[in-house]
Amino acid sequence: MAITIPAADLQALSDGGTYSLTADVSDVAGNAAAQHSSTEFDVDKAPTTLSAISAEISYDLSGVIAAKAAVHVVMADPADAVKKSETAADATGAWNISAVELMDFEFSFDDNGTYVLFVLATETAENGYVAANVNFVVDVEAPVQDVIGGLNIEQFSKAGDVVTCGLICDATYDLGGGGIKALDFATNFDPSDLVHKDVSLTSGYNWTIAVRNETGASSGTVKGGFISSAGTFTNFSNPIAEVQMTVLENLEPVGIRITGTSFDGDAAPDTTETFSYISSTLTATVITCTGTAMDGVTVTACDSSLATDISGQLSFEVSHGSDVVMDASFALENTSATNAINSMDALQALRIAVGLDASNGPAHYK
Amino acid sequence: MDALNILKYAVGLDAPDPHWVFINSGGAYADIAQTSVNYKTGMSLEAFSGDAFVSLTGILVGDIDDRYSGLIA
Repeated sequence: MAITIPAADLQALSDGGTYSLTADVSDVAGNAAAQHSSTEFDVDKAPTTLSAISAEISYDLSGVIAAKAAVHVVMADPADAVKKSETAADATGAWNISAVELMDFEFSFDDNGTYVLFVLATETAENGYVAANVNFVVDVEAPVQDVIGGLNIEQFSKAGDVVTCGLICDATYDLGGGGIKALDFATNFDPSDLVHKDVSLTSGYNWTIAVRNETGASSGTVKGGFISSAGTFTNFSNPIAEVQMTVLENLEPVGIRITGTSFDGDAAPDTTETFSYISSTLTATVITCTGTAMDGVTVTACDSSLATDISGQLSFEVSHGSDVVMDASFALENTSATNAINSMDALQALRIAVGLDASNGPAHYK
Repeated sequence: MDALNILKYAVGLDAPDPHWVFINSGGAYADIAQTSVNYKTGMSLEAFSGDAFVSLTGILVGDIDDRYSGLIA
């Protein structure tokens, strides 16, 4: 048997009240049943409310709502593509959707823009949806890609705030072959990061026209050009010129572009390179194969040489992003001969040379 | 080549001068064998990004008459 209660009657019930529904039955003759059935129910007409929501891509999305309410999250990306997630509040009303579920991908600079999270919820009493939304902005810095064109920029040294870079010609763009007799280029930089200081030419090629600074020494673009009246630049391993600049901001990487490059009138591609002047310490320890610290070893790295101390250590300050090539040398000091080689050593050497083991067993390394 | 140098020394001929080489202490040298002694000297680090500690091991090469072993404790 089904009993239908008019909606108007239900709407008339008071919100928050507890009511008892009792069913009494009788047959068509009017005989009432001895039993009746009764059940109690609560009236909940108030729509649920969403607590304040905050979103940060490092954390989960969470909030508090009515117990057992269903929570739907729709994320719209800058291109209005949507991604849906859903969960249910627990008995206390707490709900959570993990950041991994919401954003199961790694943002790149292509994903930059404003993202909107729409949070929709409905409680078990079916009182309808309530909604809230929160925005967050993704701003991933685009990677700076070094591009080597006709002139490669190589950082030579940094003394105080003054950096020296070398401009190395790419022989590929010496289209006529035989070297370079005339070079034009422009150095471009952010004048809030760098101040142009000086350019010097590689000596020995009889350069006759000095670098021209057409727009001023501290400008963001400084043009250079020179012609050799005698001799032709052919050493493509060494810089054709050195550029000095003063770094204004040591804590930020700075970019330098070389544009307008031409070798003997033939245009060469632009170069873009970024240098970091943020540095850290590279500590090296030099030991013998028995683990003893070596004092006085000269270690070369980052265009500088240092000698190890008594503990076999030394430290270099290295700019971030640098490729470090380290090598060492140690001057021999003559001491009196000990354990001079003898004919038995020569025999053992011969045995090893012809593929036999030495008399006291196979050789090994450690 | 080591054997040849030792033989040269044993018969009174000139042998190569001893010298130090320095290799990365943390390098992989398992492939070095009696008949294959290839290694790179020095070491390199790409895209340096923070404080780092490295170690070089010095090896005395060509000390045929053991003249310099006193330098190695």
